[in-house]
Amino acid sequence: MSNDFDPNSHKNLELFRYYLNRDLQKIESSIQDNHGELLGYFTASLVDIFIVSLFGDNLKCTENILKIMYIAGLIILFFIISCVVNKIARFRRIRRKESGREEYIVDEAKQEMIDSFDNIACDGLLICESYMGKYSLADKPYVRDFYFFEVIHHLTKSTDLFGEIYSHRDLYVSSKKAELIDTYRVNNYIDFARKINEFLNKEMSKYMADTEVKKDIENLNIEIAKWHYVNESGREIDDDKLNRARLK
Amino acid sequence: MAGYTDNEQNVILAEASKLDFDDIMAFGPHYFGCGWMKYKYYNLNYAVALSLIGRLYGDKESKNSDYHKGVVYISDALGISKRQVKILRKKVKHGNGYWFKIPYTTAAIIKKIINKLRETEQEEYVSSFLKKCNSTVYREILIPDQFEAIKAARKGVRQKVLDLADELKDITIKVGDNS
Repeated sequence: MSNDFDPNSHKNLELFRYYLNRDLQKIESSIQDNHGELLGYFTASLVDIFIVSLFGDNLKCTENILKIMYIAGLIILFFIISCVVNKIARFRRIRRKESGREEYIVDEAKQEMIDSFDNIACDGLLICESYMGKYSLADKPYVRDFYFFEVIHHLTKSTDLFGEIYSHRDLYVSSKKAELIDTYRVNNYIDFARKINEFLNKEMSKYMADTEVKKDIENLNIEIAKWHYVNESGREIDDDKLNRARLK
Repeated sequence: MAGYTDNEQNVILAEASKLDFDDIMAFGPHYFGCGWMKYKYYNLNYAVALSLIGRLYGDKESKNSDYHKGVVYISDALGISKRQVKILRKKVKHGNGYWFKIPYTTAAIIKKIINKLRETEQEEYVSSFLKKCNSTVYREILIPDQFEAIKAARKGVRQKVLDLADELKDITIKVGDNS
């Protein structure tokens, strides 16, 4: 067990990467929120300036109390408009992310997905491989359970990401463009994920009573069964065809 | 998609290109958009499943097509609009491409359709349809691409979308699974 806490182990590196990534995402989302807020304040200020320039002359001949009410009204209007603009900006940002269109029109979003494949999906498989080895060596049942469940977790995380890449191969996969994911990496990923999934299916008989575990493994089976090897242009090919080519 | 003939595919594509007022009106708080792509998409299996339900459970006196009877049956059974049931069959135009308009009731719709198909798995029409399909998992037969798109839409971190993705993840019923 002491080896499990090796500072350079997959788990520790994964945790380090995870927390670093999470904190960076927090900073990024806070910057984005500030962008929205700034837009709200800017729009609200413009509306206020517009009102002052239109009706400012009326104030010259009115009572002080009316002037105070006028200013209070402008402040309230400022907050209402900035709030509404912030909400609209946030709504648009979220919907654009959900739509799946962002990756087609924003290069950074596409690059983020490719980076996720490099740093999360592929690392996830290596973590699974490491835990599969430790699972067979562990003698305490709760430690074995831990490794088994972690393999499910990391494989699910990894396949969720890869599933998106696989279903948008036109966007992410090519052997001709250096910035995209090479097809041999895609095929190798599929091989690797299948092996890990085989391990889960072999061992799952011990966890049949747990419906959550069963469902998660069923979902992995469904997801991985959908994938086939791809050729140089990212098109699906017969699995046997690639195997035969490899044997030659 | 199931192994349909070229002729069947052509019929479907003709159907997919038809203008339906409900496709235009599918917006507002009941729907969200996801799965944007540059090309058209028609979910043939889903439409066939609705036709089968219409044929087996629909109003026998109605002169509408089996597909429409199926839509009416499911929408009445769930107390939702027909538009929400229908919209899952295709991607609709958005920008210079197409996307799914997904109703938040998708999990309920799919569960209902699965329950009805499971009750009639032995019927000739149903069993031959299920045999044609590439998967034995009902969710994969009915909404494989929609489910991928919904999972991807979790990036928006909106609770309603996260809940729907989780609900759909739990639907792993297989053909012939009697548990």
